[in-house]
Amino acid sequence: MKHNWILVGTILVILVVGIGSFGVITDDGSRPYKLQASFSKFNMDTEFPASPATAPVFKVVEKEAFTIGSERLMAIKPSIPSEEEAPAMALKTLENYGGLPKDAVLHKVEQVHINKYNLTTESVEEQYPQWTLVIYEQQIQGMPVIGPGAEIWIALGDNGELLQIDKVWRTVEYSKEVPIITAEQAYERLNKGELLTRYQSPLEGIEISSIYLGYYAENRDTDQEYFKPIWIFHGKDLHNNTIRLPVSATLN
Amino acid sequence: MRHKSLRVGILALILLSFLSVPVSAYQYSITNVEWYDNSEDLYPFGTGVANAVKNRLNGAGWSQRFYETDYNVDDYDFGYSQSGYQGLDEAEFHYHFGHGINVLGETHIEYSRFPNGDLVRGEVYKKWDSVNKWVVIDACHILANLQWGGALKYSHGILGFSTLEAAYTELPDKFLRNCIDYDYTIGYAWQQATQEVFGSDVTARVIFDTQTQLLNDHLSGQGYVAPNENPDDDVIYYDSWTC
Repeated sequence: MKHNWILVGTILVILVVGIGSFGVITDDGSRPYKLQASFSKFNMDTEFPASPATAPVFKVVEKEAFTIGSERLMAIKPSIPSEEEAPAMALKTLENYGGLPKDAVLHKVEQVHINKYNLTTESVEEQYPQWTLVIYEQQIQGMPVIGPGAEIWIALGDNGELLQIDKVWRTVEYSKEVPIITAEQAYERLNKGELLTRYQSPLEGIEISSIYLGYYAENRDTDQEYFKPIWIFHGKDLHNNTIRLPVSATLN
Repeated sequence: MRHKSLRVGILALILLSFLSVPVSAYQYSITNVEWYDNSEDLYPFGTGVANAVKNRLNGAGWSQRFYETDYNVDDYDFGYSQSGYQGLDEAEFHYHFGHGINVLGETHIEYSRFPNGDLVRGEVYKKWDSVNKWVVIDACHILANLQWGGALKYSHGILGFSTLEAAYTELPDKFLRNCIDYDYTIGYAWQQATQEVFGSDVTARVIFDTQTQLLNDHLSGQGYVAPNENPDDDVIYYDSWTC
């Protein structure tokens, strides 16, 4: 009888260890491992917003797109502006390029370094400053314009020296109101993968923290005639990266 | 006398034909995974990307070592084996297009049958040690794990992304235009191309074996290429920027 209990216990331990190891990835990246084949696609951490029946469409009346810079961007600098002082320097720089558009908002400031990284200790051993980046994005009537074609990207070097400016900006004017789908209907489109861009990842485990209306600006090479309303699903992925997923809000 | 003239003429023609045909000094390879069993298909973007790479490099006198697609792509194309077929390590430049995923910090290049087929960095650790100099991984998330730098034994650099990104055929076209037409360094060519193509939700990244390579490498035939790291060590240099 006692032997039977030992046998049952041993089998249970083997089962528990076996099941536990199923789905585990070894942390050095070597095999063997078994991946979970399915994940919950999106985690909703917000309520659906009230959806208006219509939203404005804007006609593009002018497009400005230019890049000024050189390979000096990549060179190591003696120093670069702090993230606190960079926005004021960027504004001053912009005075030479037509100033800051009225519909521009500060989106991001970051210092960029070359990092010397030790793979064994998994630590950054040294940093070599390259530039401080200031990014402005477009907002129309309080609604953000996302995508590759609505950005002013300014890189500043030692003492605020302009290293590179890249501007893609479309001037728009009100065109008309169009009927739109609800945020719930947009969520259905999102789950079907009906996005305005084709992401090169399965988009699993993204936590949606807010949903709002906005616009999508195509890249600089595209002759975009209108900004049509989109629903933006804003959130973070499992690695804390900010994600804004664009879904068309128009009926067709 | 007449036969001798004929022989001289034929010899001259052969020599002339060698002179007039461009010599393919450098080689590239491509892996394109755009059809998936369990992830969203990326067709026709992969085909467009591959065509853009071919057009730019063939136009610059490069020749194609191999082009593998979808279910034919496997670990061996990424230099998994250290004998026989060396995959991407048989050509100076490799371009990969497809899905990438970050699972608990371990990043996976997805093959068509994923999750029953993928590449993780441990499978190519210290294996890029022959002809290859640069590898583009046009897929989401892969370079979020810096340990991919461990593949660079004598190879120089990996260009890719640490976040989500989206499929655009303009990316390889602009990158190779920058390398070939403008003679930019590889690092700056990638910076310019990624900034032009993407918005600020995307973070691009490069990992190089040495700082000299990161700052000075040009595409073969377009300018200076820094020496291989020798002896190999466990230190890499990386650079990331918001696009």
